[in-house]
Amino acid sequence: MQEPDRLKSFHTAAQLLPERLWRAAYSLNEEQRAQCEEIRVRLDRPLAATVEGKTVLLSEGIRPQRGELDEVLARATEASVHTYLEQLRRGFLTTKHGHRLGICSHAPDGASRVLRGLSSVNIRVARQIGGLGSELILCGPEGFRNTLILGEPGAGKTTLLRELCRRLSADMRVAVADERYEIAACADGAPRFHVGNCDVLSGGRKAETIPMLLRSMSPQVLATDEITDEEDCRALLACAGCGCGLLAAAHGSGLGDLRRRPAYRQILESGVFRQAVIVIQEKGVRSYRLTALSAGA
Amino acid sequence: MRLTGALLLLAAGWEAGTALTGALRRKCAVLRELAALLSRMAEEIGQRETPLPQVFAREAECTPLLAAPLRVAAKKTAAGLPAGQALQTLCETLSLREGLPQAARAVAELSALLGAYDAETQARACRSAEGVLRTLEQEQERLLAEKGRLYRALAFSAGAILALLAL
Repeated sequence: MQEPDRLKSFHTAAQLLPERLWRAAYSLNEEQRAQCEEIRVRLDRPLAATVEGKTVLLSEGIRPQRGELDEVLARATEASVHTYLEQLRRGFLTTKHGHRLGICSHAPDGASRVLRGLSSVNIRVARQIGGLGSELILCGPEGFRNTLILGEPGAGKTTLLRELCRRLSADMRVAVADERYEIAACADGAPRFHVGNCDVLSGGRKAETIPMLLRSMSPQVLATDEITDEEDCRALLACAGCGCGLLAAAHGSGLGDLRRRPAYRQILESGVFRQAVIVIQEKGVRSYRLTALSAGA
Repeated sequence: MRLTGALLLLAAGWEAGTALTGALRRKCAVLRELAALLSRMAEEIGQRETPLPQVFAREAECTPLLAAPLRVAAKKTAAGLPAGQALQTLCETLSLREGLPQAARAVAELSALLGAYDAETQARACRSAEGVLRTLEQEQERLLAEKGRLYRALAFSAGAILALLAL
C-alpha cells in the first residue's frame, strides 16, 4: 500500500471518531498516521494509537466519554446497530471501509439484543500491502496450496493471507471463508480489498461456510482467517480430505504454541499443512520464516 | 343578477368555513402520513433489517409532507449520527411548524431506540409509536369534524346575512 493510500485508510478510520477525538487522532504526524495500526478508545482513559507496534498516547487531557463511545458505534454502523448484530455478538464488527472494531461492553444475557455500557473500542486500521510476501510466492503457487500462516496478534497474518489469496487466484479457483470480514471486507457483496478472483463467503461461521464453499464453488484452494477452535479444525480436515488445498491463519508465535493447544495439535499431526509461514514483526519491520511441516509434526 | 350574487355569497361563506379548518386537515394528513411511515418502518427494520439511512431515504420519497426532514435524517444517519440527533429536524418540524408537539414527543422517544437495538425491539417500538399517532389522528379527525361543522355553519350564516342584505 502506497503512502497516500495508508493516509486515506487512517483518515477513514479516524472518521469513526467524534470530532473531539478525531482532532486528537490527527495530532499524530503524517508519518505516524501512515504507520498507524490501531486506535484505542477507552472510557475515561487517554485516547491511544498503536504505531509500528508501539503505543502512542494521543492526548492526556482528552478522555472519551460514554456518549462518544456510543457515537463511535453509531458511526461504524451508520446508526443501524441491528444490521451488525450478528457480528457484534461475537465482539467485533467490520466497517464498510474494512476497519475492524473490537468492542468491549456489558452484555447482560450473553447474546444481548443491545450493547450496554461500552467500555472500550479498538479500531484496527485496515491496510492492504500490495506485493507483500512476494519472495514467498516465488516458491510457486502450487507450493502454497497447503500453508498455515502463524503470527502474534497484529503481526500481519491477514494482510499476508489476503495477498496470497489475490496472487493465487490469478491461476487457481480460490474460495475464501471470511468469517470476520477481515480478508475481503465485503460490503453489499463487493470486496473492499483487492482479493483478485476469489469467491468470498462472508460472515458465517467457518464450520458452516467451509463445507458450503466446498460443495458450491469447487475450490482448488480454500482460504480462511484465524482458525480458533476444534470445530474450525474439523471443517478444515474434512475439506483437505476432499483434495482441496488449504490456506489458513492462526494465532501463535511459533509451532510450539500450536502444539500446546489440542485443537491445533490434531491438525498438525494430520499433515494437512505442508508448511508454515511464521510472520514476525519487530520494530515495525515484518519478516517471514518458512518452515516445512510433515505429518505428525 | 341579485339572486346570483346572493348565491355566490352563500357559496363563499361555505368555502370560508371549510378553509378555516385547513390547518386541522393538514394536521390530520401529517399524522396519517407519519403513522403510515412508522408502519412501513416497522416492516423494513423488523423483517428486512434495512439500515436506517436507506429507510429514511426511501420514506422521504413516499412521505411528501415530511420529505425534507426525512432527507435530513437520511443524510445524518449515513454520516453516522445517532437516530436521536438525526431525527431532531423532524421533531422540530412536527412541533413548531405543524403544531403537533405530542407527535414530536412520540417520535423523539422512538428515536432514542432506533438504530441502537435489535430489529425486533425497534419494530415493536415503531408499532407502539404508530399506535400513539393513530390515536392522535383520531382525535384530530374528531376535532376536524366538530369544528368543521361549526365553522361552516358560522360562515354560511354570515354569507346568508350578507345575501339577504344584498337582496
